[in-house]
Amino acid sequence: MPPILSARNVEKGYRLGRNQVPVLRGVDLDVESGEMVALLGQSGAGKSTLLYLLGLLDRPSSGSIAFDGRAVHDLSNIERAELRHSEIGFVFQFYHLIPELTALQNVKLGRMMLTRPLEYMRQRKDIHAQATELLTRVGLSGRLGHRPNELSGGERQRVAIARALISKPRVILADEPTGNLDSKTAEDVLEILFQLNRDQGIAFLLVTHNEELAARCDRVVEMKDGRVVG
Amino acid sequence: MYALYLGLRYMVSRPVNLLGIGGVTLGVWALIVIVSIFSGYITEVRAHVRMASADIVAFHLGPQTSYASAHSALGGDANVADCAPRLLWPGLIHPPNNELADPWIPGAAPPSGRFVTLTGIDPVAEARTSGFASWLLPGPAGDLDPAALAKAEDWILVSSKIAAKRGLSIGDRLVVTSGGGDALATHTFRVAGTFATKHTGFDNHTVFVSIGVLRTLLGYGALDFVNEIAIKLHHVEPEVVAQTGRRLTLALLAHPEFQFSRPYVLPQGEQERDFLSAVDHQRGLMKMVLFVIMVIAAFLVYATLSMMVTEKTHDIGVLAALGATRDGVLGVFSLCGLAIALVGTTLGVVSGCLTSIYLDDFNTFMARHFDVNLFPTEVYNLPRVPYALDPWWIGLVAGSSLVLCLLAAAIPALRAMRRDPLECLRTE
Ligand SMILES: Nc1ncnc2c1ncn2[C@@H]1O[C@H](COP(=O)(O)OP(=O)(O)O)[C@@H](O)[C@H]1O
Ligand SMILES: [Mg+2]
Repeated sequence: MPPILSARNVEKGYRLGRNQVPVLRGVDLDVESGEMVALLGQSGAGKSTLLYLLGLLDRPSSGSIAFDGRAVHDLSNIERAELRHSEIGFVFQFYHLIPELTALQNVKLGRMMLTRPLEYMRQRKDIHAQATELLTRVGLSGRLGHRPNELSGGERQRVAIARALISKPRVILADEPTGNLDSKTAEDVLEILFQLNRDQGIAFLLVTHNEELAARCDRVVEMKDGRVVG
Repeated sequence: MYALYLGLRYMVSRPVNLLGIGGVTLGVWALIVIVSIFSGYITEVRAHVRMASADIVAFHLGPQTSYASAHSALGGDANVADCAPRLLWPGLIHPPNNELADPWIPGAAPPSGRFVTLTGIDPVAEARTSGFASWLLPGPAGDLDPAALAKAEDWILVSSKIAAKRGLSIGDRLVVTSGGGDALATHTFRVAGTFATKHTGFDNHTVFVSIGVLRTLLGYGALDFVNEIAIKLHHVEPEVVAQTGRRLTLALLAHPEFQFSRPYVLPQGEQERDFLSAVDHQRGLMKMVLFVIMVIAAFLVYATLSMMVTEKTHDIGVLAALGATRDGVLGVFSLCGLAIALVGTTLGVVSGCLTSIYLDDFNTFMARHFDVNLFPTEVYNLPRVPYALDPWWIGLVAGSSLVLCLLAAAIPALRAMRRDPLECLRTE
């Protein structure tokens, strides 16, 4: 079985004025299906950049990205958006919920990306039930109608996880998901992620600074100055 | 779906959007209400003028035109149904006991009086040709009969306006001075009745007398002089009337009797044309001024959406992460703009129409309870606040409001679309 995500000799540079600043200098990385991989590295090492490339939000300067064995780095924008929507989930350090929407609406939004309005109206009961169920599973059954500013950091992150889950992704890319939470709350959130990995076989690429947490993952990858060092 | 959903959500959950909606509503409302009042005024005055006139009238016939020869020139036209002779002459009506001394005593105080247009008519022919019979107001002895008038001699009909102002009632004596050249003559008439058209200008200066009596007063004796002819037409569509007018003018010009005068045949309303086109022009200016409100409203939509796009940096990034395309991001913000425009325009159209329709009641209410007269109908000689809702105009206003707002919304929406989602995600 091919790895769910793989990067081969990926390079990425940003143009700053006249200079090309290299950020990734030939990264090779595989995430197997159902695997939980921790990505360690100092700030500025290029972890987020790699995550965005693997999540098809950006294109590498050179090298290739494959999803489930299929090269995806040169697909059209629309194909990449579809793949991103249906196979890949994102969880960010700063939650990135939409402030005008309630918890429930934020989760439902994850199902609106590819459905046409009429189609959505037909499925709306289903989607409503699914979103409610997901929020219940992350322990927010009592917070469905709350806006993000009425929720604590841990609760917000759990809404974000539920939102990532509603499109049934096979891999979730989490960029320091607990970086903004106190250790007790962080533990609760991580417990949810580990449980999803165990019960549903969702693969994770988990960016973190926490070595203790990294040790609990299936595998640890460390980055330094745009390269994988171990 | 997300574009529609988020666009609407953004609109309803951000109070600042009320500014844009309110601006659009106000602009559309003003464009509909003000223009509908202007249009209503024009329509109403036009209708009143039409009511107070024959289909078409031959003017400037010269001072000594024989009705028989003019009639022979006009009567042959296929579209002419009927004609009535008129002799219009300026005259003075005197308040009782302030008549011109006869004979004139040099040095005596000049008599006071009021200038009117003595309009000599044949009541029966006039009733056949114009709305004359319908202008007559019933008196204490019942309806006035044009045929009975034709048999009588010294009758005079004054408009209800003049009657009220002069304190005249039916049966009163009324002395009139008139004449041509340096020969002035007085004649005593009896008020036989009153009349009213809705055309105030006409009512303010017109009195009707028998054309025969007026000819005698002016010294023409039994000659059948006229200087105007009222004409009734078979077909009264505006283009047909205009064509007939040109044809009849040419027919008169071809007649030897008119070789020294400049007769023309026109719908009587043409005389009000300058006034009405001035009002029409004001309506045009008003449209332009009010359009500026629309532009300001569109600018408000632009400003609030611009602010929103700036605030929504994170949302743009997260939408991309969830699988949105750039077109989708464009859609979110354009649909939000469209929703603002639609709500504002709909509110504007509905409130504009309702305001136009109920403005008169509102005006009456304000006048009665607060003594505030927003639209003094007396000044305009109208029974009520006029309005004319033109569906075409409403459609144009609504359409241009939508287009303008969409254009205004497109600028920030395009800016949102061009933003790099990655930068949006990285921004703290
Ligand atoms: N858009 C950009 N333009 C220029 N430099 C960038 C851009 N994005 C990231 N970088 C640089 O790339 C390097 C790696 O960034 P990042 O992937 O966010 O690191 P990490 O997530 O490991 O902290 C940093 O030095 C950052 O300054
Ligand atoms: Mg980072």
